Amino acid sequence: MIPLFIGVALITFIILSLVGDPFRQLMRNPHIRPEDVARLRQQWGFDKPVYIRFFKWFWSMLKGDWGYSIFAGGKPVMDLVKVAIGWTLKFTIASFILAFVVAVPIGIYSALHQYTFFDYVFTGFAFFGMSMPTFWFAFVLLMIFGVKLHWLPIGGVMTPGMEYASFFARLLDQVKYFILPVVVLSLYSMGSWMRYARSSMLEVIRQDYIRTARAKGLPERVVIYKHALRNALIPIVTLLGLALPSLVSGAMITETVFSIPGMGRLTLQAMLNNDYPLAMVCLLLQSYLLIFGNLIADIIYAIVDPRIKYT
Amino acid sequence: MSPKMSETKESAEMEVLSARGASYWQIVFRRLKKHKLAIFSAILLTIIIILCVGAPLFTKYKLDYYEADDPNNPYLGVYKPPSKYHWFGTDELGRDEFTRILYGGRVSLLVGFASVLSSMLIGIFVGAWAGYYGGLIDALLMRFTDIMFSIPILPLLVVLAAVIPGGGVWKIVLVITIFGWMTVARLVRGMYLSLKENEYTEAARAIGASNVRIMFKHLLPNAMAPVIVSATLGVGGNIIYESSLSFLGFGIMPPTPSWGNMLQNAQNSMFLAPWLVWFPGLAIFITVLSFNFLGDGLRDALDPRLKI
Repeated sequence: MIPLFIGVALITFIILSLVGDPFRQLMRNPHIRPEDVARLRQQWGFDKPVYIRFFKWFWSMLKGDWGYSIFAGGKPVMDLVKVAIGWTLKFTIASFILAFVVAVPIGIYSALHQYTFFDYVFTGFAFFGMSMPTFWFAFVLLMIFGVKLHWLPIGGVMTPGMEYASFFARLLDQVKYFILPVVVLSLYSMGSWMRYARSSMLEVIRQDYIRTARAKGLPERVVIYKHALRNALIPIVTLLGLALPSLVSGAMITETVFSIPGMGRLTLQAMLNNDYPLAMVCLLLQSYLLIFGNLIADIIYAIVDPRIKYT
Repeated sequence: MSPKMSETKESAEMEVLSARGASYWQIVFRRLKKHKLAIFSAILLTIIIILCVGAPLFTKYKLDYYEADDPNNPYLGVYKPPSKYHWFGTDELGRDEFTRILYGGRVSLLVGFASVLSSMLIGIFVGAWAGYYGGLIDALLMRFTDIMFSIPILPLLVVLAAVIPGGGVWKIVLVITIFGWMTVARLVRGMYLSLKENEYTEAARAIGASNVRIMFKHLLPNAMAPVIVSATLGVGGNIIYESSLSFLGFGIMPPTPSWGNMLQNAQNSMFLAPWLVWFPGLAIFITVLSFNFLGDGLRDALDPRLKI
């Protein structure tokens, strides 16, 4: 695990350092003297070789010193990330719940009614969700509900001036801004979880113990909800762990289209500006959550499924 | 012919084939034929590929044809909605959208296929090496794969696309390949771990076949099933990656059209010319959907127990 953490940090750092240092753009500006650029580079430590920079940076990360953003007004990285994560979490948790609540029951239903009309409809929908390019879907929704019908706002997170309105007015305002991004964000996971739940349930109802339960005369309801469903849910539970990184890292494209000031957009802007301290923290946060998410998924799996033993 | 008759004919055909000892691929194709959606997708994809590759045959406009507004004909010029002159309308420079979709499809499909092919080659090589030799090589290669897997792809694609100079097709292929080979590597390694224990591997070694020969001549064909499925799904995924990169402004650079950068371009004229948003997106969606259906059908046909 620990070599994995260090390896991810190293590779991300090397790829980012390929971009060159963020002060190179300043050199083109005739109003800035080369000595000043050199001084800035020395101040931020860009005159040192890559490996020394990596160790210094990694050490201060471990100490909890995340540094300051170079371009966003020199604010501490920690503050910028905190604000962005706040927004991202609101959208991702809402879309996660929506996807989960819709996908799992429908997936189970499809499995129990395999090859019926509704199974085909839901399977079609699942493929629709998995094949839709995110930004196009976002555009289309914006065009229909934002531009044509004027029902919903076309981006942003709240109406200006709403900060001081009453709680309910604010809530109503937020909901309007949430609908489109949440639908866009949840579409892909909805589709793939539907397929996942369906195949998981299909596998379970072919097992011998289901046949045994039917054979001993249990009512179908008990067979399905007591014997089959609980086993089918085991792999689905691990989705919770695997979804963890996407909750925090946000979605670059959706956030860009809807101008949500979340983690995805922060990451993108940090990369575009060569804002190393910020970009590295954003990227590492995502990678480490991914690794942790996988670990958590494994642990949950081992807890809910006693048949699994790790040696 | 009644359906009953065709059924008996089919089963008779099957018997003949199995009596002759139908090859693995004949069996696979027969199973695939039952998957109506997969076959339909395959036909649709063939049509799309023919349309795009033979683009000059299907459109009367040249790719670099710019049309000025015509006072006598309201359908000719800049930002014209779809009509019989311009099936998909025209864009902000008076270019025919249908023509650009066909030529853009060449680029998008090329990126999709080329990046999948190159990631497959790297993935097979890494996976085969790790799975066949095991031990330290396996540990090192798989840790490296784990590391690459844990890095968020899209942000780093953006960085790489910004670092590597140029705005061409091959740059995007390279960038997508760098982060695209890991799935295949893991699949192939998993297959090799079990395949190398088979008797025929031992037999091959007994008659003095070299390691490389065993790896690529004897084991590889048996490990191809999951690779083919993952590659089919991968073409669609990579087309989406290309369009996402282009959308963020790091993909194929205009004036070369790709479905992604056409959409990015359309963003500015969303209110004025919605058809510029509809058609490139629809092209991406239909193509990716077809690859997904085909991949799904192939998975069922090759090996229903596969989990990809």
